[in-house]
Amino acid sequence: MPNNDRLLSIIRGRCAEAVIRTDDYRGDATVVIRPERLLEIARVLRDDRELAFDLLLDVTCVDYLGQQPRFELVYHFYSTRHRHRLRLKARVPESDPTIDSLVPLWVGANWLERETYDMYGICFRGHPDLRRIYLYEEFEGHPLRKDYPKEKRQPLIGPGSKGTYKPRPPEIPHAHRVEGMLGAELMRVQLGPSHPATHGTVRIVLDLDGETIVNADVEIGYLHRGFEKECESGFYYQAIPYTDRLNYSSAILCNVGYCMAVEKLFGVEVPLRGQFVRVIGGEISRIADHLLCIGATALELNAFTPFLYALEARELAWDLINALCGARVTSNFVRIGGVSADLPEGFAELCQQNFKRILELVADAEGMLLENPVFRARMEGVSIMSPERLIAYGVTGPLLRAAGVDLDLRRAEPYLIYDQLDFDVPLGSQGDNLDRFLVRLTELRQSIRIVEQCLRLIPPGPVDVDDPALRLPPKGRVFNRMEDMINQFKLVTEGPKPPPGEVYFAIESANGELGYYLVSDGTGKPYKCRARTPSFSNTQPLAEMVRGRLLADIVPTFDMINMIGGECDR
Amino acid sequence: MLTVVVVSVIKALIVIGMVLNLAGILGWVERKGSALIQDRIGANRAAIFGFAGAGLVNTLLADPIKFLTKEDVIPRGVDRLLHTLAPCVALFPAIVAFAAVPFGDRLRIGDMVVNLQAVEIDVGVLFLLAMTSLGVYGVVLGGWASNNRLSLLGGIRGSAQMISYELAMGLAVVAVVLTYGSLDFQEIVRRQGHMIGGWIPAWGILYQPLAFLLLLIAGIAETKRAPFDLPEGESEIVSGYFTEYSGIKYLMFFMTDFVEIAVVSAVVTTFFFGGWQVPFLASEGFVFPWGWSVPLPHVVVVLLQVAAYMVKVFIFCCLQVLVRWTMPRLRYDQLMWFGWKVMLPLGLANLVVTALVLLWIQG
Amino acid sequence: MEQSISVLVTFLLVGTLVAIMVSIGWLLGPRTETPAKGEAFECGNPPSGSAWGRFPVKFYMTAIIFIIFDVEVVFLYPWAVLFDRLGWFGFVEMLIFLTVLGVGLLYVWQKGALEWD
Repeated sequence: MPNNDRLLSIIRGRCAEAVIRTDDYRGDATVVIRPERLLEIARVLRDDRELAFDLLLDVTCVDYLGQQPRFELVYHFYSTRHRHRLRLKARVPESDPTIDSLVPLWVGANWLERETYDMYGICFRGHPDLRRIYLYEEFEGHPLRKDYPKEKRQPLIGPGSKGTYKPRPPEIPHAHRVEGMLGAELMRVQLGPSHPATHGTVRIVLDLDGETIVNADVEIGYLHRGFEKECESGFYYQAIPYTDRLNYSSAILCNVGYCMAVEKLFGVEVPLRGQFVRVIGGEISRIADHLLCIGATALELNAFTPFLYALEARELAWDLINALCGARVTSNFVRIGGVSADLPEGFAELCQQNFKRILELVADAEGMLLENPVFRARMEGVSIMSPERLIAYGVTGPLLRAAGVDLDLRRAEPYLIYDQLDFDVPLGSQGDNLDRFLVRLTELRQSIRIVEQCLRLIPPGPVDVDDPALRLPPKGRVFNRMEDMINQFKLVTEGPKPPPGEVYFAIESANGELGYYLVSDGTGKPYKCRARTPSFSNTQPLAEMVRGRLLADIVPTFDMINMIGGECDR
Repeated sequence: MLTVVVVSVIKALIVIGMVLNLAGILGWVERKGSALIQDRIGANRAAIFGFAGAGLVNTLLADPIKFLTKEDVIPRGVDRLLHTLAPCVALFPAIVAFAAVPFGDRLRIGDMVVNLQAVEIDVGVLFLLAMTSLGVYGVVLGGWASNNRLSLLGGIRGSAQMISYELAMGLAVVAVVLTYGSLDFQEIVRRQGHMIGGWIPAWGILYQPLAFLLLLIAGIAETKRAPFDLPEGESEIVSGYFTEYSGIKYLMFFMTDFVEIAVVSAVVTTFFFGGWQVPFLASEGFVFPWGWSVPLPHVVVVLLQVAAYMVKVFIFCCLQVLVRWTMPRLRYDQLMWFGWKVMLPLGLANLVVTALVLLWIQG
Repeated sequence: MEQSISVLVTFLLVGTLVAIMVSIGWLLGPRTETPAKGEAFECGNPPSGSAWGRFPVKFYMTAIIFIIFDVEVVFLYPWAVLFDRLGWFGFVEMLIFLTVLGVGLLYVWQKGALEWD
């Protein structure tokens, strides 16, 4: 863990009069600042050599209804150079919920601020394009505000609407024309939401000059279902199934991240065997996720056969998850303080058997793709983006590693038992689509290696923490002992109650940094439960990556970004 | 006069039946073949009295019936005439082109000599090229008439692609014509009848290997199938020029693809693999170079030749299916680059070299 | 005469077949019109108007270059058929013709008319 005291004292020294307060809770360094000084402090955070916070991970807001000032903006930063984190907070009043935009410093703040505007109604001064991002423009109110009732319906569109809603033609902000087009017109084409290639359910509005993309605008939100609002209205443990549906192609990783964030809030650690089981489940999920991404890329390039090989391999990975927890897609496997079940009998043999076949299938698919000049020509040199630009967009995960940035949280901030495991972090050199493809392919094999090691090294012992305030007691004890019965009753009806406070915890999910920011007010329900999902940040640079390229280049680029609708739209 | 008409009608019906059935069977080969490649089962649901025929019933009967009884949706705002005309314009030249290729030698019935070629003209090669060029209109009309941007993009892509590869195809054909000195398919096939050194059939592939490759590649590009399926480009422009088609018209575009596969196979077979020629089969029966001979009646010889032609065509159809399930799709600029900067110069060079070699042989 | 008959017969038969196919579909298929069904497919978005606009000139360029080279190929056919009678004279004649067109190809290549990205 990096030295937070030193970090905080540096920041206090650099801009003393702007800082209201600093604290260090559960290893998270926090700085509370005056809102009018945000831009200035952010610039120091980014440009100071000792701070060097180049990655703006997340922008969100907490609504402290009834307090003055009401809204607290929360920024999370990470430094890829020094590998330290920082949380920046600033309060703005309800009467004037305005703060400076960070887009001039981090281009990736664009969508994050639009989301905050959409959900909380915070206005960002100097934002180039402050539109709603998930909801439609005619939506009234801001749903994540605490005074917006969860049950409220706005039947402007969808079932129950009176047909008064007229969708407007799409507009592209800052669209520009091409010089010397000899009277030809740009053709406005909309890819998605109902389009074979947009499997993440997204709309890409394009202006085409023939086949060349002149302008592009990516519109997300088709799968928005109010993840945060739902989580805030249930107990901590009731949010676990919702996390399944964030990245539904690697659900266990989302479970692990959430449960570990809650455990950080409680300050408990899962027994060693439980940690091993989590790593095993998580890595199998990662295998399934990468297989889907690789297969889908092949499919969209019309290589149908490798796609089916990859999906057959993914079926085998899902069979393992099925053996682990009885479900395939939405596994709901991890629990706060442990996992739902220990490894089943004969799991190691099943793994060995399935991994062997998975590797065969992957080798077949790889051969068909990488040795095919057409596939290479479609991937090589397409949609290159520099590492600096990717970081400015807040991109993490395989996409960033393909550009040569060595940032894998399993290595950078080892959680669970990753520091005891031997695995490689593959890096690309050029950052084109082929590198992205290769990074995922290598990671998949490394994940198999990790699971094999875990199965060898896993110690005996319990998988759950033995804490009646956190984990349900075994059924046998519930039926026979009064105390355990009471504990079960209390846990189910009131939920586990963490101490008041706030934490941010991130894991390396299949697509990059998956972080959860939890605010506890001491009750059984989270006051704020925010998921910083990699797909959201990774999808943002798509428009810039494809601008000036050909229409067909959208397809592999979008696939290598691997936007998962559930995760992006929450 | 009447006999000529009747014979022509019979021959045309045979060829139409042949190509339509081939298209149906190719649909089955495509489904079951791809299933075989991809570790799946493939079409197996439709059955007659419990007989599914390994999916053949599905493709040959269930599919056409289903398409026929589906609604033919014509969206508002389309050009209704062109919208209906487009699939016809696509299918018509494809079938007619197939009819120009001879499927056997002359058949003697009593005094009458029947040339086993439906479109019996001595400039068959030109006729074929003319008909395949017409194929582009189906794509363009379909894309334009639909009044849909995705269709329009598909139509434009299709026309650019088909005309670009038509050049390479034309040059490859010129080299073949140069080699045989004739524009008559029957003549070209007969020239491939003798044996080199008594052992090796003198098929065109030995004389024109590069032209074979050019013609095959350009042919696959003309059929608009992977890796050249940009006009459809499912993941980019949904279904390209037939996005707005349904029912029978969709089936007609679909059939056009398969008929075009058959045309390409037929042309490749005729130019480079001896057409209906069977190695060592002369007009009286088999004559092997090691001295054996098997005399056969005339009808059997002709039937063997027709069978040989069909087997060869089928093999090349299967080859194209295999290619389609192996290759990813090219991008527009790569497609045009390959057509104009690789295929076209190669075709020109092949032509000049062929002419030089011919002059050298003539002395 | 026999040649024209075979061509005519084939055209007629194939034409009839195609016409029958279109009309069978029209006769057998159901017809129910709904407003949504009549819309042009734009990936689930409400239709945004006609697609018949002006198109970039690049595509016309391709078409024009095609015509030039296609006509060239047409000239080659009679030459190819009569090649053995024309001998060296015909070869040199055609070589000059091909060179002129080859220079043309190089020219459009250099001018960037064959660049599409």
